[in-house]
Amino acid sequence: MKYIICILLGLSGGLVVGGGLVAFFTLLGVISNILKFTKTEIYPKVGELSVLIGALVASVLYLFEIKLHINRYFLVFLGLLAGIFIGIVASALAETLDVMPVVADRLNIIRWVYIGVFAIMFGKVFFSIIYWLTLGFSH
Amino acid sequence: MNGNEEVYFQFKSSPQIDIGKPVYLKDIAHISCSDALRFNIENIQILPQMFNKSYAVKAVDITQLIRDNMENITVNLLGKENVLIDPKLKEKHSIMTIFTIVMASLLLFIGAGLAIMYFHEDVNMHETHRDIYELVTGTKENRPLIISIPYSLGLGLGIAIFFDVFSLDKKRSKPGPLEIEVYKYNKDIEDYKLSIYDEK
Repeated sequence: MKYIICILLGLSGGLVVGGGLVAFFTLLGVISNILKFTKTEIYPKVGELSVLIGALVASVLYLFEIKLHINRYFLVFLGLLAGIFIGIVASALAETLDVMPVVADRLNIIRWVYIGVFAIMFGKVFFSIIYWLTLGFSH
Repeated sequence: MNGNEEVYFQFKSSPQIDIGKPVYLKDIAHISCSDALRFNIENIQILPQMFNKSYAVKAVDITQLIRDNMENITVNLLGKENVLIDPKLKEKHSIMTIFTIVMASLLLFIGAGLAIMYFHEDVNMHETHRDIYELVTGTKENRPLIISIPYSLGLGLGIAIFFDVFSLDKKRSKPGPLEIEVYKYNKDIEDYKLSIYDEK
């Protein structure tokens, strides 16, 4: 009986978290953005499946504490992809709040709004690297 | 004047009006009429010298103005029924503009940097990077910079992809998300002002 309740709890919890994850990415248009950039919009199923398999594999690897023993330079590739994804999520999230149009309009420089993109881009990269080199791994 | 002349007009979607100049009909509307009438109609004055104040101009008023100026004329409206006149100073490239741009860039630069640091602290990104390092290589590493530095560079690349900055100089087929946002923002402000000034 105990086990049945545990299984039910885990299943429903996973269902909610998984649904939430996909709903979040879809709402922000992350998946469609990546498909658009790689010009693979004609295969939307690929995007869906990738997110599904990715989430599944990651949770299995994480929960069962599996060690893969791959060459460490593979991490460069992995880190780059992770960064691109977080970058897209972060800018999609910021844009739902209209930060840049509002700032540019208030300061009357709406024609120069793309300078803001570059400022944010370099700001994020610069401060991120500073963070990792100094504070990031100190605790 | 012989018979009944027809005049059609259509408001421009976003008329460009300079502060300090009177507004003529040709500034705010496209007009279709016979050539004999064109000059007279186009130079009907709608408003005297503009100050820094917005007006909503209604189609009824325009119709009345044209009928006052000419006889035996039928005025027809095409499209939306009112337009917002939002006079602006001609944009100058002064030191001040450059200063504002630099300040705004600095604001966004530091703000974005702080936001990403807060985010990393918030989601325990350092632990995650250590976990990923251990997961892939099988050994522990306290400072897995081999994943963190590419991650940071990827962050910038992701933002570049989102705002589509690679095709900024080229003429692109689709507008970027930022252009859409700016357009929507301006549209909202215009709609709001129209609804406010409509009563006056």
